[in-house]
Amino acid sequence: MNRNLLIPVALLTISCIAPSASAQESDARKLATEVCASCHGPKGESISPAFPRLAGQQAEYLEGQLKAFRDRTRADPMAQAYMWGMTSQLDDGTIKKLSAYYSAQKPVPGKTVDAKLVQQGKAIYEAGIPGAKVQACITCHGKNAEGKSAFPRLAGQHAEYLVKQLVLFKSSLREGSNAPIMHIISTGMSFEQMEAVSAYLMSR
Amino acid sequence: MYRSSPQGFNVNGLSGPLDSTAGGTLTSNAPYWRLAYEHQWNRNSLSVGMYGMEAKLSPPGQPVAPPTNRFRDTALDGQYQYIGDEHVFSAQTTYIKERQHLDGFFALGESENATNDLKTFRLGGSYYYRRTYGAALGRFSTTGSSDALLYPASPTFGFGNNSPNSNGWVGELSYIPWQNVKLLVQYVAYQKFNGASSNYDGNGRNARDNNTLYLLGWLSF
Repeated sequence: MNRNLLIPVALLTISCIAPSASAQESDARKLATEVCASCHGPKGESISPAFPRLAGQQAEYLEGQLKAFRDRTRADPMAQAYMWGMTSQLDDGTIKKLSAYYSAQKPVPGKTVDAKLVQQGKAIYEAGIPGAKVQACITCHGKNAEGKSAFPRLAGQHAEYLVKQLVLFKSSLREGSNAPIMHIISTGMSFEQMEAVSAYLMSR
Repeated sequence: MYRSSPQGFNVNGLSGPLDSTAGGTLTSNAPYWRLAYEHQWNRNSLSVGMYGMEAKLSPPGQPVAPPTNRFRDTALDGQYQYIGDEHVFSAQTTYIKERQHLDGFFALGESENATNDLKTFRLGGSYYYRRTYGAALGRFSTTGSSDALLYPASPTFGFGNNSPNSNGWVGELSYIPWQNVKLLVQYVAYQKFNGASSNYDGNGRNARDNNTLYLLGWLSF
């Protein structure tokens, strides 16, 4: 019996996947529908609450976040796990075109799961929580939570994603761009209040 | 649709332009088809589909001319994936049934039967914790018609009972310290190899003698 023929072997494989599609691909639509679509959906209408909806998002906000992922200044665990790698090869021009592509897509219509929670959230969104020094969200994010330039659109976003972001802001795990403002605001919020305001935003 | 590039290997085994001495070449277009149903809900995604291919190949070392071998594959596949913040799980399966019309081999006396079947089954699942520590387990199985000329007996790589049947398990543990580096240990265990568990080659070699341990490092840049 020849046992030596297929002895345990040690192998080192080095695979080189460079330059990635992003560096060579100038067509933002192609990049969005072929690469980003796996998680965010072809038009930014993601189904999984693990990944934010990008359809109709403010272009300036998207640009800032993509750059923060690329520069690694936005360093929450999901950013590290997914977006650091995805953005590493993007140049400024591609980032701009991608942001414009998503902001031009039709936003996903809102969905109400718990009407009572939505009502509680509406009150927080419109008036803040005066006792806890929580500013009204409507001041920056707009009457219909449509956002403005660097302030993101929140309407129709996955509630689970929004709650997670508020928790990350509160614990300072999400940094970069508007994070210092959101850290102050989220510090005064309980987890239940975060859930309520997120339920309201998803319903918009 | 696949088509062979316009070159082949001449009888000396050297690559060269496609001419009457080229072999192992697709002799016509090889259509490939796929039909799948995809569904996503919350953090889950599911895909169930069918696919297939038909290819005509000239036997290796033979001119690109009839009689050729024709392979028709019909297959089913499925995939389920769950992507959570802490836990990521995925499972895949496929079953391929291949009908072989070996006119080329048969005419050359390289196959006992003019037609043969070959069936392949794969089932696997993987789990990752915090996208850092992973484990995977897979089952593989190949079964098919026996053919004394296509699957002859020979030491080590041969088929003692002329059957292509093989099956076994693949187990894997992996560690991803950084997002572009993956280190893994993989073990492939054969329960059946080339038709039998023991003495499969007719020379006393057993299927488990082919079990292999791999230590792999994967780097992407």
